[in-house]
Amino acid sequence: MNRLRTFVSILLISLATSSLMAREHKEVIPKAPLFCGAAVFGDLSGPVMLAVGSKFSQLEVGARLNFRDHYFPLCELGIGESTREGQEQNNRFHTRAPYFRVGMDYNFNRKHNGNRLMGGIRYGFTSFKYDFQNPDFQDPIWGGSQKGLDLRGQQGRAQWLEFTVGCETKIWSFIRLGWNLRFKARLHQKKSEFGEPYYIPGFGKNGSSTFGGTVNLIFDVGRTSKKNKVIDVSKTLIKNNQ
Amino acid sequence: MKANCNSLGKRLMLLSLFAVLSLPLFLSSCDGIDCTINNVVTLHVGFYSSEGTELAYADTLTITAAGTDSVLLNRGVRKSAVELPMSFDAKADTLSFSFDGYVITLRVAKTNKPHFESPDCPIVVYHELEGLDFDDPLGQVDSIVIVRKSVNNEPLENIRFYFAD
Repeated sequence: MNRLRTFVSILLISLATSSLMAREHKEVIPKAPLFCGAAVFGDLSGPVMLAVGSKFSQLEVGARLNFRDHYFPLCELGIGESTREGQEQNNRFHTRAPYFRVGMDYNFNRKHNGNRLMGGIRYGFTSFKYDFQNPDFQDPIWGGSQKGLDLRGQQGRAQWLEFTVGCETKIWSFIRLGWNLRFKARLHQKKSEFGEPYYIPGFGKNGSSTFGGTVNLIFDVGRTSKKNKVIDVSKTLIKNNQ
Repeated sequence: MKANCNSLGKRLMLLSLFAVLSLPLFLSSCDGIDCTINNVVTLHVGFYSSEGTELAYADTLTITAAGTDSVLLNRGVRKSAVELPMSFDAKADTLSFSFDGYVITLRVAKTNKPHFESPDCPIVVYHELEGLDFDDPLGQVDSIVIVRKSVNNEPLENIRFYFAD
């Protein structure tokens, strides 16, 4: 519940910022073309997490379309990995599997100036196998030693929803940089009879909800990258006003 | 207007830079060890009168794990229910209930299933009760029944003692 409150706070602050931005610029905004191009993007945080030896990481790419410079239907796919050894128990968990997300972003910035304040929703799903091992352990009350577990290839499956908020800006020509924060709510999971996975690829550390985020390097392709038509419309209007 | 757009772009760039730098901190702060607080699996036993009303047994009660030197409950008084750890590996546990002046021996047959929660948490072993029998030389007990077969970390009653009037 605390996680949800934090996320809702971030969302409200973002929307308030968007509203202030809109008040600053009161000129009439022209409508962008119906189809403004497409983009492909990759998450930069995954390789960083992999490089610093994080407990879990993901390599993720995606593609999206741009309608009216406001609506961005998209899909994301990646590979999530976790190899985790317990600090006190010498237990070991491992999984590596692909995951998929589909959804849509909405750009709250009414001006077509290349900066975007985004809110969105995603549906994610994955099917994966996970391993769990632990050494022999003692029975402190009844005595004797219990043979350790060596459970490999336990089948897992999960579906979840993500609510995102973030922003992006144009760095150069057809290249953009953006980031977003994500509140993830697990909808359903299938787990082994011996226990649920520690990590779900694409979702993160297993639980009813969690936070996440990505830092995306975005490449506009097609119409937007060639002609920058959306931005040209805005510039034309500025000239007319002057 | 151009200046406004550019300054907005710079602000967004700064925000992006901040996000990139703070993301690893943010993600690492979300990690922690959160094992279940009550990760001990126990057999829940309740004491009842022959009519089925809960009974706080007035005598002192000591419970031991037969075949070991472990005392599971030492001279408990006015107990209406007890929680007892079960063996991890054995197919049956024998428990000795020593009331003042008499002893009831309970044998519980079970299957054992290890269960994991996280690499940081100890393994727990769940059980499925398969049957029981008991020795009651003085006839103090009407019956002992299984009311719930699954023994896990949920605090639900598994076995009931019905004492004779």
